[in-house]
Amino acid sequence: MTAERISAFRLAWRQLGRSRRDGAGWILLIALVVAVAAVGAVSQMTDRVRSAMVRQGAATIAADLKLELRAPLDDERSTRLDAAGVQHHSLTVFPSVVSREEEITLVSVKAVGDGYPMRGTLTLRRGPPGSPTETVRHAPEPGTAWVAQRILDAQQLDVGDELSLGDTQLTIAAVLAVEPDRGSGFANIAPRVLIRQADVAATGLLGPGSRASYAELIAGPPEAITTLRADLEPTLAAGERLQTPAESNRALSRALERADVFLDLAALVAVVLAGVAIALTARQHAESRLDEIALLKTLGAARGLIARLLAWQLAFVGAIGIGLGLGVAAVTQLGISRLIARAFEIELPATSWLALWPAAATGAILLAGFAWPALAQARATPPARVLARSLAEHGSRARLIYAAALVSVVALAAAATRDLTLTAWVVAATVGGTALLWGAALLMLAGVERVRQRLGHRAGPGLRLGLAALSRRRNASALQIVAFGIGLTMLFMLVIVRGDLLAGWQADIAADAPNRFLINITRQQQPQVADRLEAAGLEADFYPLVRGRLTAVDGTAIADDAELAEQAGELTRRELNLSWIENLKADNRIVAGQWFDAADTGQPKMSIDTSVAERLDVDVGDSLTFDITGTPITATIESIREIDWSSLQANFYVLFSPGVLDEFAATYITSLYVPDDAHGTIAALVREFSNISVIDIAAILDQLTTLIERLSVAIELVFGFTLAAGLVVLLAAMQASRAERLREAALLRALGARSRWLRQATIAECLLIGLCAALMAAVIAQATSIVLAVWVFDLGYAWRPHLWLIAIGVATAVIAVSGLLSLRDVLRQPAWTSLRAAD
Amino acid sequence: MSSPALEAVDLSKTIASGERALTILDSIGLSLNTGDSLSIVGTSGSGKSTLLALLAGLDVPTRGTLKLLGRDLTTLDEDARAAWRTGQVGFVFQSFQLLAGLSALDNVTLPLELAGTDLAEARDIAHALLAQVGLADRLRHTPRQLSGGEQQRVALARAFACRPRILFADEPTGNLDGKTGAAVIDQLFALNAEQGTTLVLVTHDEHLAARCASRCRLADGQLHDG
Repeated sequence: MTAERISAFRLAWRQLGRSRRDGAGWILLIALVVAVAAVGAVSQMTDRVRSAMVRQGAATIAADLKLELRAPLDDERSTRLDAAGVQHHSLTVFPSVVSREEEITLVSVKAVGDGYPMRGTLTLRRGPPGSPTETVRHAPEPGTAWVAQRILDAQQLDVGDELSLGDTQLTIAAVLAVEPDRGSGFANIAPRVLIRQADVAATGLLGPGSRASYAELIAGPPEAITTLRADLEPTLAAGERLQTPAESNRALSRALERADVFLDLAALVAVVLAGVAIALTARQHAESRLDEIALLKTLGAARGLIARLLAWQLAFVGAIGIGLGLGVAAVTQLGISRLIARAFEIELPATSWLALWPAAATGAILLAGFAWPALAQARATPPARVLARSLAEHGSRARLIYAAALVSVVALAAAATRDLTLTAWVVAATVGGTALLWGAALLMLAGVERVRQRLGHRAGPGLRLGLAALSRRRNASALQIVAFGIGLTMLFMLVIVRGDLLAGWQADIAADAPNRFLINITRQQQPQVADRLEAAGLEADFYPLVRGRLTAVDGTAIADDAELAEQAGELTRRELNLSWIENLKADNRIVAGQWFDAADTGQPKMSIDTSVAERLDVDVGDSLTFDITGTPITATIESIREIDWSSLQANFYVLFSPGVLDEFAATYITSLYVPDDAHGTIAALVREFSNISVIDIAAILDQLTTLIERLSVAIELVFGFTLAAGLVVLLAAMQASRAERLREAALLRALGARSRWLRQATIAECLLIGLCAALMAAVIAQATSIVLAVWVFDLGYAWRPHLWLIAIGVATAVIAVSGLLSLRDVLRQPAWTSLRAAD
Repeated sequence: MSSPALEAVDLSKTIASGERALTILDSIGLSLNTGDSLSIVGTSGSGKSTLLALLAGLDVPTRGTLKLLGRDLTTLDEDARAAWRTGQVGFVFQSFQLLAGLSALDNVTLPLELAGTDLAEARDIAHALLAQVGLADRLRHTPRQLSGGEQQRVALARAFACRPRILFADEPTGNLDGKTGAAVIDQLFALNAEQGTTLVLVTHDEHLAARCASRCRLADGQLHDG
């Protein structure tokens, strides 16, 4: 029989049971288990946190999807909803007034069905402001109403009193303290009266021509919602729209988006860490097979057979490693999902094994990308190696391995996040970081060699041995610095970005963030209002506001161009708030063109928000025409701004250059922070200037605060786990050089080295490797984090020197301790035993 | 007279050493008949291992031709040489070259498996050979649990497992003490005689060399009689 007839699979399978004592194989297996478990647990966790976040976000519209209508839901679409496997409830909102004696208050009535709210909860208060609140998930009882505190204040009513609404009287059963789907637009300024849908008819307020808006709240499984959305999209008539939680509240959705990107980053970091661990151990694994490969060739095995044998062996290691890794991931994420469920106060659906496929794929790709090229290279070992290793030196094709590894990491990173910008930056950090780390490592090692020569015997024997070991294993040391450096870069980056993210959120929900808007202040009233606020110690910036309707784009009248009208959509259906300011606000960023300078005053120029530019497909230099009380005003776009709506400050889609709108009657708007004890100032102001309206966004702020606090917990959870996984991976990587270290230590001990010297040598060696890797990692991570903060997260960044010191200290200590641990065996037993064991 | 089992003509090996070329073997000519035994002696660094690698087809010469068992190996690539070696050529190495993770029995079974022998049959053959070299009670032991002499006896059993037509031995007693080495060599020659194998033995041990039918000496890259 010839060698070709024998099945490589059978041979590999038989070898499997016999290779229990293969040290390098074990290390590869452990690295694989840790890598798969880390990626699996992080990706599972990010999935769970994501679904928790989506649920949380759904509270902002009290549903998973909201269909906004101009009339009650028609039968055709009602049937369609029933068939879609979702639940739905109707909602009607209309303006009205409530009056008591002379006092008339404009209110916004919301009539809801039994299932309201489908997502989130309402917060009620039965007593005066400051008394305990309760959360409920149902509509008011028929014949009763839940009303905003402002109505009680204005009408001098209390809970339990009767409220006249149209033709009927309703009992005020509670104060509506928090209504999650209140929204933050100026359209919702009137205080709320929440009643049962069944009570609407009795009010007699809804007749032909009444200004009511209708909506259908929809909730169901994510897939059903996605399908339904696509299904309903073509049925939308003018004035109708579909709204998701993310679209309803920009501040919340921005927070969710950032959290989402952070979770992607954490998953990416897990992938890169896994790559580093596998790459390090794969090299060692391949090297340990060289003798076996040479022997097999001597015994007559052809390259093809050896290739198949190695491939099968790797496949077996892969199957076992991935299986064990998935098991660890599944167990870990069970615990994690309990934590998430507790943090978000929600029930999460059970996880499926199928959801772990990215981790399994990661393991497979890492083996194919890192371990296989190293083995394939080992396959070329000449058989003469069995006679003398010097006969069998073969050129290293390391570049091929690194290229394959890089391709694997990029593919995995892109698959893990589907966020190409983020992936590009992380890959750039990995590649650039590798080059920088390699250069720094060689420089440091050259420096070490010079120091060693200069010190000579002035250094103690321990330090001399440590420095000599670094110089002797120059390439291995450099490789280790690069590997540790990349791992640490990823972890440091996560630490820094987490800090920036949390700091950014803290700024969003700062205790003195504006919680009231005052609108409708006339030009004459503005100085007086400013005086009153200043006297009360309240800071406020006033912005003029002129309302105008967009009529033409670049000279083309929207009325004459159906396509343009369709494109402009809402921008033409309602009047826009136009304003002007001299200096660019801190929450605005110019993305194209230039902000106005002094020469632009009085010139017909404007600055528009990016969303307007995108919708109208216009750029700097194009012009827009607005109709302001019958007068057309055309201005050229001087700049395009990106507005950070999460600031919850007054902001404007369209800003004219100062002086252009002076001739039109403007009202003023201001946003300010009103502490609880200054509530009286605002109430007095409103009584003095009855035309001024107050918008209270405290409830929205509370909602944002709660969400961000929960997101922060989630981020900390993911971060903590990734950090732990990273440390485990680094420790596994440290094991890669263990065999060589052991052999050397045993030899040195046999030659008379004291245990103390060996310990000192290991500490010196590991400290230098750790310090070089950690220092470079801190620099690269900080640079990458700044890029990520500015370009990906749209956040401010801060230098945190204390973080550097802690990170470098901890990383160096971990590396040194793990080095010492690996030495333990050698120090415990006689030199001869260690030497024989290490052989 | 039988046809030569090994015939080398003008065999040379030159390697690059820094900027200049270093000639290790220079125009070696050699012929060995089937069933004969030949020892090649030389000092350390004389190129004995390199010559053995060339003669066994484990490495390729820079110049010259080599016919082994009637086949010109210099015309074959590495894979073809490996395939041709299967079951025909056996080896014994100075450093034993046993696979650390495998038991004694598995190490001996390996070449039989590679030659496509049924596993049960391969195990029987390996078992018998290990018994023959006195290791019947050490079948499950790994190399690390065996002494140097025992490891070399496992290597002997492995070398003869496929009943090779020619056996190459590279300093087979180099890593063993005198007494153990002598015992191993006795077993090597006993198995050789039993299977009628052609033997090429490389050593620096004159006593061991003297046990072969013919002997030559490698010095300065060239082969000399005696």
